[in-house]
Amino acid sequence: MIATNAPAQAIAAGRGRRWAIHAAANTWSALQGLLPLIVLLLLWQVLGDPRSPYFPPPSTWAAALIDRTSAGDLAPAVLATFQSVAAALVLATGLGVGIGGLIGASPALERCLGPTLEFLRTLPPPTIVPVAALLIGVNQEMKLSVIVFAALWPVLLNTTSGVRSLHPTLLEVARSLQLGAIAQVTKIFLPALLPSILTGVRVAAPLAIIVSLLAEMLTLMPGLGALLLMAQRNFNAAEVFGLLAVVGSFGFIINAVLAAFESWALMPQGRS
Amino acid sequence: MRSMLRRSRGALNPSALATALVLLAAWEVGVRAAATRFEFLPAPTEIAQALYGAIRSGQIIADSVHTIACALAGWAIASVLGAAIGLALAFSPIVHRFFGASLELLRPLPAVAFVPVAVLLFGFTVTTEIAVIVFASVWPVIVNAVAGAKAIHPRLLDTAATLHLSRTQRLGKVILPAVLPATMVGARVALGLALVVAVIAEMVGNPAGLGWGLVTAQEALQPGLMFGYLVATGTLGVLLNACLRLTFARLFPGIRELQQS
Repeated sequence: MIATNAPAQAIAAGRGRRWAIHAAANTWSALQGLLPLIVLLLLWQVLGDPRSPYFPPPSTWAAALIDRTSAGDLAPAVLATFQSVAAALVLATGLGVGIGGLIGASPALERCLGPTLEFLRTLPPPTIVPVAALLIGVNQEMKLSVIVFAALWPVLLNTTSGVRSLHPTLLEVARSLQLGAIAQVTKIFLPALLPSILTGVRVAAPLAIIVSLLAEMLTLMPGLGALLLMAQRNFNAAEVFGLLAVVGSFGFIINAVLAAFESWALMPQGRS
Repeated sequence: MRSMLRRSRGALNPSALATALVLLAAWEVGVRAAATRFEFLPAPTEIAQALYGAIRSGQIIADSVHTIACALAGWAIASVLGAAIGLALAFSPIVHRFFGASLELLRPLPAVAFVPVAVLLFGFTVTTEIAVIVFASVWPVIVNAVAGAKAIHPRLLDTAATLHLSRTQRLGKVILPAVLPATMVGARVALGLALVVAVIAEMVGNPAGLGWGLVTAQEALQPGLMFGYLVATGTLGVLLNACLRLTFARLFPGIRELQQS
């Protein structure tokens, strides 16, 4: 027992060491890359004047954020923004895949709707916010619908082109196996379209964040955008910079999670 | 991804025109018959009237000129800056090692969140607007310039070395021409972004231009004018993209990615 385990342990230890070296090298190179930013922030901290109305040093940002947190504003705002973005992304994916799939499958539909959709797509998404605020009123549905409107197009366009580039053999396989409509969608089309759909979602996510923040800024509905705008209106520079860091990490985390999900979902062995 | 758009834009086919007209007519009838539950939804004819009035009075023209001027100025700065940063990242290992990760960290920062900071620093001015536009539209140029530089065939650089070209000669005769196509593709993406961000910055930062016009029309409860601004902004986006495509196709007939919509 012991004899058979020893080499395995040695290999495991070797692998562990190699992994540790690898990880250390990675961390070091990442740290090197962040060095200018860290140095800049440190210099700012050391040389900056805490009373400066424009460039408050980083420690005051943290203090401002702690103030906000203890006032009970920050966590609900992050949550509100996250909820709208997540719900809108799910809705936009569903709608985009549905409409995009139909348009991709039917050339007649594409001929009819193409130019109209093209015009809607070129409308800068932010311009929809005031329009929706007037039409629907300032409420959650309005916020959700403007984010969906912005996030819809990348998913829709990617699905359409995905459907169009499906290999004809796939359709023949479905026909020769005599799959039902539902089985066709779940077993053939969705797996084949997954890469295009996920690319669309990744393009849509930053747009969704931007439009969500803008809607909160313009309507002052609860969320990170509203907090940011109020801080600016109060000329609280420390809080503005602090919230900017929060928003930055918010976007960074959502992008990273989507990227991780994409690589997991597209890994051949990930799907059984 | 763009094939659908290219084909549908090539010729505005009769069926597409008919569909658009039917949709507009349904909208008009729906509003006239008060069948919709949106009290502020204007009929298409009202929108056309308001738009016509705003064009006659010069208001919407002046706003468009302001927005386009800011978008173009920011875009030009972002293109030059992005190409320079991209080349530095691609050709200097030191710059790449020490600045790569910092730039990656700044990239996903949503452009809107940057507006309040710019307002604090520059006030409600054109500088704020252009700063935000530059910040937002520099990224596609950087990314594409780096990709273009990475794709330069090593033989080109070997040739430059064999010919004993100086640093500046190598840059001007080998690297820039090779990197230009990719950078231009990035610049085209950047122009679309620049227009969008200009409108955003006008909504919450600099009170001027189409974005501000849109918000004031909303606050003044003038739905016709507001939709007029919406139509103007959308049309401007289409026109700008088309102009850019034609100009680039004329200037760089060899770059195929630029001919597509």
